[in-house]
Amino acid sequence: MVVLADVSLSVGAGEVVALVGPNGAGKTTLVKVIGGLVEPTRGRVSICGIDALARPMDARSRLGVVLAEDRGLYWRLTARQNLEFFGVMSTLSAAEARDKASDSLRLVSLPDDDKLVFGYSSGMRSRLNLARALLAEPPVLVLDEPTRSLDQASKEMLWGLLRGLARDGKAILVCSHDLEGVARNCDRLAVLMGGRVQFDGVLSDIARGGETVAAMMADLSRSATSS
Amino acid sequence: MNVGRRRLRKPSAVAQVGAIARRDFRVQLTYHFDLFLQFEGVAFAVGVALFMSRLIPPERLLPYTGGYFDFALIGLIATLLAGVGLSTFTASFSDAQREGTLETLLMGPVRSTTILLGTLVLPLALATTEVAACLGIGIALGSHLEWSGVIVAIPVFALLLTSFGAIGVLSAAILVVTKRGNPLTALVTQATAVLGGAMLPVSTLPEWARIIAHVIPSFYGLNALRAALLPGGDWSEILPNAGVLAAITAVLLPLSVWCLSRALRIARVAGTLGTY
Repeated sequence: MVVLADVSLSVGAGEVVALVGPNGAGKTTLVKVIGGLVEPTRGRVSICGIDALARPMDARSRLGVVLAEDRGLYWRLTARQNLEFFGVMSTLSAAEARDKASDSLRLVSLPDDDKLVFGYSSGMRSRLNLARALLAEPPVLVLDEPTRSLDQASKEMLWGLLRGLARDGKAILVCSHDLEGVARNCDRLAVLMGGRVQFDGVLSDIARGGETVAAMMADLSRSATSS
Repeated sequence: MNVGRRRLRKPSAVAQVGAIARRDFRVQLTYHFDLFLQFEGVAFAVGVALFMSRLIPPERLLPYTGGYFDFALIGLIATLLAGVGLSTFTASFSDAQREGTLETLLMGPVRSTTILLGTLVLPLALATTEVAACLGIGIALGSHLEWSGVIVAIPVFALLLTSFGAIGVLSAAILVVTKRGNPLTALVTQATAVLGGAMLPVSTLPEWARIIAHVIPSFYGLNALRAALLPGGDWSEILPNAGVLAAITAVLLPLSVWCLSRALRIARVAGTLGTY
């Protein structure tokens, strides 16, 4: 079964690119291919010019990924202990990880206390996963459904944070069903349907044409079904 | 937080091993009762060995010298090490797959060998404490081990642990692909206890079982350990047995690490790394 075919997508430094598409379009698979969790049968993944399949360690040092599930954390540890651990597992020293853990927690509005992640809500775990991905300050961020479990205020906080990171030169790819948030905060939009990129364009051009992202996706979906 | 570009440096494998050990220690601290049960289990096993020593006369242990209590104490220590080597990696990979942390870890710049080494630190430290407890209780209950042989026994213990660890890594490799079902751990643990000579002299087994014993690494490890720690043992028994164990380990260890890296590759191609 082919999950992704002929997908060609690039994200430049300082850019927030949204990857949208219906359920089962292949967005999560693409995120996992970029993160090195799924090996493609052919093709190339390049992170900061490094071939991620040939030099996975170098590529992963430059990449922060947040997967859609709120798993991937140690529930019997505190948020700080999780960050200290994952910091060292990326490129930080133990002392750096300790120092940066406080800033990261503040950045995603999580308390620096003794509460185990076990007792966190789904939204809090999502924010902690984001803090984990940001901790080592990788130049490339890939986020799968980062707003899924978040309340409105947390969504605003997240989009604002991503805009700030892009201004600082990060390349950011966001998979999201939050079309309103995408339209307001992303620079470019790629639409994935049936494992293929059906559209890749600048969001302001879509808005200038008087169309909304939702309407455009509906059109794409209709034409994909009829063909 | 300064989100500007930070100069990237190579991750340190030593620091990563330390971080994994610290993580495991912190997690273990949240399970107080589990720690208590581990040490309670050691005390119980030593007590059973003492009771059995009253039922089994020394002449049944031939060709080994000394009493059954000393014989079984060495077997118990080997079984403790077998438990660490065989179950640490399977439990760790299985938990990590279930929690989703295997995916999080493997998205970072960390090698599978670093994960293996780090995962071993806490269980090894706990097992060392258990071995010390086992020996301490043994001495208190009247063990007559040859303490001069301890220096010789330590590298044999290390070899034994490494050989069990290699089988444990093979088990973990199978689990990464099959997700459930662990054919090796139970089989090797039972084979070690019964056929490998941990709790009974192999000479008391039927002939077919004695033949099978020769393919179990612990058979050689236990022979070397008993030659070092029981009265009357000498180098002519220690060296050949330790040599065979070293040869088996030298084949098993790289093979198991290769199998694990193949298993991770298979799971990556199939996209099943995080499924369980």
